[in-house]
Amino acid sequence: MTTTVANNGQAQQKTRVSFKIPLRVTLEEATRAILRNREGWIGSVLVAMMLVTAILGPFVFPIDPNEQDIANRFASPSGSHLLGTDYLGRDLLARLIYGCRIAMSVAFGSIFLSAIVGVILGVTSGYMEGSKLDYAIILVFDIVRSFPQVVLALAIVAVLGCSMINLILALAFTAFPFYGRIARAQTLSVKESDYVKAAEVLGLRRMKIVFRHIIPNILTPVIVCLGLDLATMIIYEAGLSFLGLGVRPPTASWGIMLRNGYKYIETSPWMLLWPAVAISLSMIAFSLFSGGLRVALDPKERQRSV
Amino acid sequence: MEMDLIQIKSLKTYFFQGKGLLSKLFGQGLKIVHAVDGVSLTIKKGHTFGIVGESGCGKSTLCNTIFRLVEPLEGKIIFQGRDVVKMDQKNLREFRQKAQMIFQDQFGCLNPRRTAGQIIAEPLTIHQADNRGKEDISLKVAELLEAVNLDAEAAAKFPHEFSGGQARRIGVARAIALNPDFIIADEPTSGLDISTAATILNLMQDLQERLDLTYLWISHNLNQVKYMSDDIAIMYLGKIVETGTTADVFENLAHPYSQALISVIPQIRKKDGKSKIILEGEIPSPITPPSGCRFRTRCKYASKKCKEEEPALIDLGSGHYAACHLLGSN
Amino acid sequence: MIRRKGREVSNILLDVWNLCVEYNLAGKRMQALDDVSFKVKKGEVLGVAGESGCGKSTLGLAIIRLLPSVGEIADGSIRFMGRNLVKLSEQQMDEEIRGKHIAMIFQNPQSALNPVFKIETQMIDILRFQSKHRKSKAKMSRKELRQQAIQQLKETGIADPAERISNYPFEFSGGMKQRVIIAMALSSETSLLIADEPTTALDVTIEAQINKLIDKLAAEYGTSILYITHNLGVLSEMANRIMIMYAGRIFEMGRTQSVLGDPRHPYSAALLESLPGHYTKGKRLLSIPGFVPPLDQLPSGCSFHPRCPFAEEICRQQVPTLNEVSNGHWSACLLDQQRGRQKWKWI
Repeated sequence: MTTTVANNGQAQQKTRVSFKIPLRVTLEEATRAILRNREGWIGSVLVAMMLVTAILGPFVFPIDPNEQDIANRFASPSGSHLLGTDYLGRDLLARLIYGCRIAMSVAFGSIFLSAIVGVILGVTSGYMEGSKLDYAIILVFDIVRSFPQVVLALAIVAVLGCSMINLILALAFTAFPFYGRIARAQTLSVKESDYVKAAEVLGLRRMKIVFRHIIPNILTPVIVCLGLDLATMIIYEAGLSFLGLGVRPPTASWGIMLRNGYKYIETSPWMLLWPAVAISLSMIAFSLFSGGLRVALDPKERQRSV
Repeated sequence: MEMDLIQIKSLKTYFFQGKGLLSKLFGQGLKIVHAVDGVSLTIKKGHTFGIVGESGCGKSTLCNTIFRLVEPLEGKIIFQGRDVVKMDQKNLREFRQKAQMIFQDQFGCLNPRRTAGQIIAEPLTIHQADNRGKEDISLKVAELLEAVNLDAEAAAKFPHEFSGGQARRIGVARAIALNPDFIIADEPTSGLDISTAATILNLMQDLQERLDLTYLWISHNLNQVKYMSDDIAIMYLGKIVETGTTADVFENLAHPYSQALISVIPQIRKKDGKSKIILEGEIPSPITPPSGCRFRTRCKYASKKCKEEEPALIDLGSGHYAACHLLGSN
Repeated sequence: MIRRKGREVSNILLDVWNLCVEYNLAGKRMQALDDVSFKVKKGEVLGVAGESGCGKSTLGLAIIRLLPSVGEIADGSIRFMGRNLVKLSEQQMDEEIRGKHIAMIFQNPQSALNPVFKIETQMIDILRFQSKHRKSKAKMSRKELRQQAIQQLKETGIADPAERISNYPFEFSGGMKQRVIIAMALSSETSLLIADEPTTALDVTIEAQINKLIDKLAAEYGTSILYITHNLGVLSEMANRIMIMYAGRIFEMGRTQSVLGDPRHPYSAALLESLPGHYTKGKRLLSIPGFVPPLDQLPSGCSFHPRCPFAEEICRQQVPTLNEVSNGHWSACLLDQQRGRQKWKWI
């Protein structure tokens, strides 16, 4: 783009550069990169399916998951109930769809919460390496990490009470040290880079250095971990609900469906099968997706695959 | 009368290793790396001051200390009349507008997640002296890209899309963005091909003339330092062993280390038939430098005095100094 | 001057003919080497010079058959000791050629040594492998191999070899590691040493030591050296003959003094005028316009013509071959071949 500037009576052409790559272009490239490799492609499709189910499913699907139909209980898959019914005659497909919403909410909610808290603490600790604050934060990480995740989550839910919010908070609390550790380790190496030194030489203030130079360069392992953890959190949610310390029944969650199905395993295998399939599928989906995501997020790798 | 832009006086920067508990219990305890051990030099305005030295000589630490990226133990760095070592944060910020650095790793000094344009614009956005709007910054970035012979399209590209020479030029553009008076160039042509290096050398000379820059030029490529520098200092294990104008020093190499170093420069057309002085042994560690003269372990002229007493810089006339006991008698 | 003079440089040790190497990267075919032909005599040092992307490293790797999986020798022959190396199997190369008759050393001594094993473990490992495939000698015990390793270290100038052999690589400096590598690579049986930028990563004084060592040992064992580097200064002192490469082809080849003193190809002349040499600031260096073309987008005809101010129509159309333009001096410039000695003045 050129603008004409008058200078001493002479018209001069001055060139203006645009150096911000529009967000649109970045997203386009990223999407193309994810879809380029096979695992990213499959993962994306599955994750997309699950998100659509979670968001739209309950609005679109006509059957109420809590509607009981005792006469038709333990039904096998049929025309009216595509996946069968459970011990109270509730439609399994409806419960699966609503369960998907719960699983996604708990997984994304807890992971993002723990990632944000973990990264903030980890980067602070890493950047202030050697200070008392650093030691304090590491201490907090180590204390929380020393508890087995599920046991800790159980304890918190037991204290706070069963609800989805509490479950999200509990799971987030057990996971934040891992993100913190990753963020801290990455920060320690990134802060020695020449480009951080260059920013210091230029006189950039510390906070800006952290946000502009450090955080963008430590995110890749965090995001990969995030993708895998999403899968893990679905398992935890299912597990805790299975133990009765997750979401409160009669809410349809995959864990509760497993709990019910396990009791009636001889009467109706369908009650157990569908939630198990759903959980497995979601784990595979997120694993594949996080692999593709890593490639898509690295500008170098992204260019290479596009 | 030429003005002194920077005067460094008896600068010492040490690094302390092994302060932790484990080191004290299991290791050998506190280790002191004598990275810069009493360096004094004067850089005149508009000149290029070259520093030559091998691993462990302290040239990189010297750069970092000048910018206060590491804190010196003692000494002064007088820049335009003020001591950088004693500056507070506000004055330090001002200093960092007037003094800039070009880093050895041409890709490492560029944030891989920012575009070239953003990288070059950064100094302008930090020091919004004239409250520049986005338009002005954009124009200035275009100017800077042109000044280093890069296309305007380069602004939207990421560092990994550039070649070594181009990445180096982005670093140069960033360094001159705020019209500094002083630039430290740390191995500006390392990793570059012969013809790319020539381009960069020409560019740096042009910029020096046009923008009235003063350079501290650090390189292990002796031919290059000889070409670019007006004045020169040769460092060994944290100390300056010889210094003076380039012409003087190369004409009359006084210190045994300088003589050896210059004699092994691979030359295509040898001016004189002098044979190479190939030094024996390895460069000692800066943690345990040899007593007395640090070069004595590899010097064929070493005597008892060299082991006991550290040589001071001896004036050989017209600003040429060398630190060697053998010169005392002349 | 390190260069060896007055030695028996009679027989041809290595005869490379029409060597073509291609890389397959992301679906693109890149011509890394094209029609490369040269000979190396017994006992001589042949320097291979050029800038990045010219193919000099590829040449070294191709001869010893260590090209990465994306590369392949598409055409040509490499005749060595009566056999064509291109046609040998991997096993034959391993047992009979590599590490025995042809050795290679690289730029980065740290990457060539395994950091978790002691030096002695690594050296004995190699010696044992070599002794296993030697039909004449009996199998040596570990003690004997260790003694041999210590002897090798001593010959490369490492002080206290008997003690230092038990060290780990991190306890050695860069120069010392390179000495260990040289000790492992060079033996009395090595006929050809391929050295790919062996001293580029080292300090200047250490560089001088290492080059002196390489030269001394090679002279002792009668080894020929293919010395690959971009540093013309080093070659001017070490090489008997030199060849200058660009974009996968040889542009000029001949005795070192001839090529560096009287370059027949515009590119060689340009390289020499880009060096600071004895000039001081104020004398502008030559900066060759344009850039090295990517290997999959080579220009037509002479690949240098877009950057050459002396280029004419014929340069755009005809791909030059390397021809002998005067005694022992070869050039791949069409204009030079047609018109005879030219003085290529760039500035």
